[in-house]
Amino acid sequence: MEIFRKLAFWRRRPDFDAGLDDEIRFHLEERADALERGGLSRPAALLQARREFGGVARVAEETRAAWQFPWLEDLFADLRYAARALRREPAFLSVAVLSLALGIGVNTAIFSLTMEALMSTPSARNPSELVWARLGGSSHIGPAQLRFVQDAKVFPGVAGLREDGDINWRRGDETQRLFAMRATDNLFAMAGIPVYLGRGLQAGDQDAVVITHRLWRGKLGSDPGIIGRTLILDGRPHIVVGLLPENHRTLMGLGLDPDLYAPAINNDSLQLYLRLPPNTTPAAAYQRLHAVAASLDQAMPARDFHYANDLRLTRVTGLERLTAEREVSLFFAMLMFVVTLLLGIACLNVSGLLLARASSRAQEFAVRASLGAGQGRLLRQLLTESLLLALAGTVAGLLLNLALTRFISGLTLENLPLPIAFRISPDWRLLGYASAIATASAVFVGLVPAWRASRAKAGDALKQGERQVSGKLTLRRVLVVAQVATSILVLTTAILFARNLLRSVSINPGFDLNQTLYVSLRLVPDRYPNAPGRNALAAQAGDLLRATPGVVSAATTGMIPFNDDSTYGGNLYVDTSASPVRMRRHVNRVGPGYFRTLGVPVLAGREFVKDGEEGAIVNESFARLAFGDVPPVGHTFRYGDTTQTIIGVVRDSKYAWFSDHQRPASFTSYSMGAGASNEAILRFMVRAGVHPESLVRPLRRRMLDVDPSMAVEVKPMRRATGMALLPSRVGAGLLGAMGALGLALTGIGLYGLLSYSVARRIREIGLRMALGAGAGSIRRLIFSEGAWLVGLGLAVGLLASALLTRPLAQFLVDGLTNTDPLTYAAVTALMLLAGATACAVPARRALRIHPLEALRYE
Amino acid sequence: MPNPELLPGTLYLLVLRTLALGPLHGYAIARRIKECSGDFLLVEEGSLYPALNRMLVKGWLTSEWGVSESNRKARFYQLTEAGRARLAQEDHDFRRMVRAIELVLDNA
Repeated sequence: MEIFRKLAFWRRRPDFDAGLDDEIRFHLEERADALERGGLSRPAALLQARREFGGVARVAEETRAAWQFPWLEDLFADLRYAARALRREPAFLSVAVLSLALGIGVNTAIFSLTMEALMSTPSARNPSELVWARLGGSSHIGPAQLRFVQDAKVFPGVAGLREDGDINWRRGDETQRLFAMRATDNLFAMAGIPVYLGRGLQAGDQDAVVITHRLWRGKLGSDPGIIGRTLILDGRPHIVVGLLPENHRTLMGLGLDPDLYAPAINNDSLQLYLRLPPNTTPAAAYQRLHAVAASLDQAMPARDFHYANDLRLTRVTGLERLTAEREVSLFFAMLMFVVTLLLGIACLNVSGLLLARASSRAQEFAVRASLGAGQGRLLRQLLTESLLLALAGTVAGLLLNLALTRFISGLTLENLPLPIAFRISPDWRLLGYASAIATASAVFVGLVPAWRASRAKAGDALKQGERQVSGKLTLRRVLVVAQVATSILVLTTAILFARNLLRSVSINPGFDLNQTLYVSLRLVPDRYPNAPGRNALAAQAGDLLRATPGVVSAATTGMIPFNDDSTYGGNLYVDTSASPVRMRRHVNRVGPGYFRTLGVPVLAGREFVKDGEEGAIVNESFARLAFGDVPPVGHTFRYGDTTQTIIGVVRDSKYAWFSDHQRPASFTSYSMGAGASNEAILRFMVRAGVHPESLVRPLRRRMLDVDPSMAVEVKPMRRATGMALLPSRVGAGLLGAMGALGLALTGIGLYGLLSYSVARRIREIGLRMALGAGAGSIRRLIFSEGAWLVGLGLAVGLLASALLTRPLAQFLVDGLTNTDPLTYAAVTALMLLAGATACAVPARRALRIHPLEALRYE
Repeated sequence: MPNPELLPGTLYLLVLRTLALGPLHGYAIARRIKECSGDFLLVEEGSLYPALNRMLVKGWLTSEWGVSESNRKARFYQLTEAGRARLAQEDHDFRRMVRAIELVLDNA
């Protein structure tokens, strides 16, 4: 192979050079011998031989070239030259690298976050073979059905997992609620989940748990002898059999970060996970599952429900999972879009700088061209320089990425119903993405200046750079306009989210946030195995709450506003119409006095007066959609086999999200179920006559008096809106930072252009001053140039924003649209301010020009 | 008057053919080509040595140091198997080309 022979050459290059000298000398001497024989004197013969041979150095050089890699050598030469050229201009270099580093750092950090949130690979053996199966469209199935699928033996592995299992941990006098994943005893073996110490759950495990690294380090003091230690969970001693590694990621993904895994309780319904045989196509897997589901329908027929309908298989890795999480994916897609814009602004900045540099280097290029450098060679030189810049920017950007992702990994999101954490570490995906970004930036940054340079005529440039007058829309100005427009788009998004956050915090949710608290009691299921026992406890706890001084009223509820949600879809039949009404409605079970406690007005009829009462209460939107103008009290609606008579109508309010707007809702009377996991939580809304914070401790103490094994949570509603505010909060925080960054970069770009333009127009300005132009008119000259660019960019940017931010509407609270005038006014004001700042310094410099010096300036 | 311009692409062929009889040093290769062509073809040193090295890179030749008839240290080039195969190929191609050109010149 030639390349190996060439490579081997490099090792013995000194030998080669010495040998080549010898060889040429030998040649000359032989020729001289021949000439001497022809009658010349020795010195004359040697001279003649040398003359015939031509340039010895040239021959040696060309001979060596046979062994070299010309393009590589050229590249090195270009790189060396580029590095030297860049080093000569430290100010340019630092602004360019800083711009790129910010753009690339933020971009890759969001990329890392997105990858971790949406595409992280679960900790499992061959995770690509694992799928989450939904039978009959439901996310969970009962244990009997799960066993049926296991016994069918058509899949190499079948296991169940449940994500929202609370467990009470008794620790001295304290009872804490831990977040447990409930798993069938074969899950660890089936999925091949790696364990750091000890072992996973296995068949026969009853009171055994596998704990996560977070719990171990955070609450168990990193005890090295943890395996075999006992924790009192739900009133019974449980043995810690295993400790998970720090980088454990659940099968469910999305950053879910539980405290421990415990065996599933008998009547828990579970998510169904299957291991497919290697290389199974989705269609084949679907067919297998369909056969099992069809026989399940025969074995366990259920009314109006077929397991074989609406089957869904979702791989736990890769893109497929995104389709299962549309809203979250959309949110991250938006973030990625915004950071791409941001990188675009940074690139435009560098592009503009390069252009300015190219025009001041026009003479250098003209000289090189007239000395014989080809057009292609010069282009390559320019692209090499931008590549070098992009590389430097990427390296600096990756450092920024590490700092940012480390910061994000350290964050814990407060006030969420589920523990979520993102543990981001750099990986090959980031490296691949960063290289792609670096290349793209290099091309993007270098293309315009290179194209411009390729059109330059050597002759023109040699004649002392042309002096620009004003007004023309040069390439650089186009870049700045693009920059202004892009950062308008980023700013609009940022301010929309900030406005959304502010509005959410101050919005009237339709109930009283200020004087209410929630109390949540998580029972040990074994202590209250049946519904009557639980309802008795509910009654006792409710009486105690109401008897606490400072409490106005208290009511049971199935869901705490802004913390829980449940939606029913499907057809609804009302007695006033023959055709069904389709609506997706929020549903809840509430006790007597619930609406009074929350401060939600009852518009017609009445509230429930006792638990377990017949009838339903609906909200205004439900009434309007289902009954139109007919007063609904006394009428009935039916879904499936259930018919409800409406006993009251209440005003609309927010239920789960601040963006809830005219969301239909129906309420039935409260009673507790006997389920194991999620139904073992008893919830109350409490209305305080005093400051709610002052009630937190007394209420908590009273509840623990009822039963110290309960995990008690008491929180004023003001502080309990974390989940509902999460999208706005994350959006406003991240996007606000990006908006500021984009604005700063654009300011730098504008400033660079204007200073450059002042520098080029020194003579013109000097002349104007000499002819009597005042400070005002000079200032106007500079500001009008800036105003032109900003104005044009603003127009384009605002228009683009109005069109492109439309998908954001679903994150916004009602009353706020993506064309919110105040947002656009704020964006305009900010941009004008940034523009004015960017103009001010060059304008001052222009005013300091001394007419005489300027006229001499050449 | 000898014509110093070789037909393009023929230098490799001439060098390979010259070496077919045995190892030679660079000066001898140039001299042999000149003599065998009746002093018509002159190989420029400026193209001979780069060509020899390109042929080394391609693996058609190997080289080693030896002593010339004039008792000087010289570098001798030798055909490899690949070089021999290449010679056969180039020889065949070149003769076919020349015959074809002759046919056109004679008959067209």
